Amino acid sequence: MGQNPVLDFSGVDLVRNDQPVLHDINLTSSEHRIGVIGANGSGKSSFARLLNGLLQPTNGVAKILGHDVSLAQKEVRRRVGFVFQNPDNQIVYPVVSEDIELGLKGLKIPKDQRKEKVGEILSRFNLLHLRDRSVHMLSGGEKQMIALSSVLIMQPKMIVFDEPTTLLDLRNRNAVASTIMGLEQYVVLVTHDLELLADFDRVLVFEEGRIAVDDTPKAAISWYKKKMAL
Amino acid sequence: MDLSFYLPGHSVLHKMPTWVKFFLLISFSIAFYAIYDLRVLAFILALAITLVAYVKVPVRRLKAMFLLPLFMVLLFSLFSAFVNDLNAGLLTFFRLTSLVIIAACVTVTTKIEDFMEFVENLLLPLSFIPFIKPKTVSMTLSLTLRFIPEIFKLGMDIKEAQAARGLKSSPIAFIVPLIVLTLKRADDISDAIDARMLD
Repeated sequence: MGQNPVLDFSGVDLVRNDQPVLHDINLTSSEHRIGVIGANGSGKSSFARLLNGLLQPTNGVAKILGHDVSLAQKEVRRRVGFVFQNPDNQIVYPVVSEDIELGLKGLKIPKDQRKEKVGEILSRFNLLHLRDRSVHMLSGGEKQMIALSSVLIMQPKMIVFDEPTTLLDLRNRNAVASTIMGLEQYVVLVTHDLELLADFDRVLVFEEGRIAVDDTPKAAISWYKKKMAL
Repeated sequence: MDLSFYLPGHSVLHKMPTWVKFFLLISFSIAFYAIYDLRVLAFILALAITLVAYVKVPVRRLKAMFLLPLFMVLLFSLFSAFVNDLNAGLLTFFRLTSLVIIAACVTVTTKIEDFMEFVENLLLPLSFIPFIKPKTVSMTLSLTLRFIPEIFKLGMDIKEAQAARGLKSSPIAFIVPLIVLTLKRADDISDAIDARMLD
């Protein structure tokens, strides 16, 4: 699993729009799958954005896979993929294959190899029939799988999911869930779907910008449920 | 609302490099205006129609692609006939209809990705000008094509939500939330572009 911890946070604070969002986050982790839960506005999505370098700490040091997000943003982004809640915001090209291929262009991979890789990734998820389809004609589940494919094709070492099943029906939610569980990459999953986390290695519960609980899924979810019960 | 008209296929037009297709299209546009013989122009129109059949554009797609442009062509032709004479009107009709059809054939046989690449290459010689970045221009075009249907859907959702609340249709009540939601969307898309290292 490498020498450096996958996540290494030391005294991380984050302020957004003059509002403190995260306070004194200290965390070391090399687990394969980490779940992040918490009430709305608890700071979990901001935490997720720190992992990809979309945000940088106001104070403290956040290292992802050994790279400081404040100093090596590109290195971090190259290694950490991000799947957003709404795939419609993530897919930027109008046609499926073109969007998946887009990231590879930046890596200067020749066209025929890019096409081949797109075919491979779509075949992996049985989506080859969508290759030439217009993105806006797809279902929510298909869009989320395309968004994930566009991330996976870049071969990241870690993937951060920000509530990826929130907009999906049960069938698509299950498809995305089983895909996440089958990933060999490190996974950080921010979610309100507590069932998804049953087989995770570790779960963090965020409360008012702090990690309130850091435990096994069973213990963390049980604490969170009690906390949320009125 | 589908702005991506590409149809997968294996015709000669599909295989032809994008720049050749656009070069031919521009050459035809100029050449057609050098022809004044109605019989020749009618023959060219017949060839253009044959081209549509050759690239196998489905009837449903034909309607979506041609209805508005042909209506415009008809208006121009009538205007030309009214201002000049019938012959001028017919010349305009044959020329523009042939061009619309050939342009449509280029559109359905060219992937957006190839078109963007063509635009990028076309702008490359101008990249010494500080505000012209070929990649940014092609990305902007792609985003436009990708998100026009989404903004259209957003508009429909706002209308529906207002109707559900029993509100009368008002331009301000429609435009303000549309602009706010579109800007919020743009912010999220910008995050996604950063996350995917596409900037």
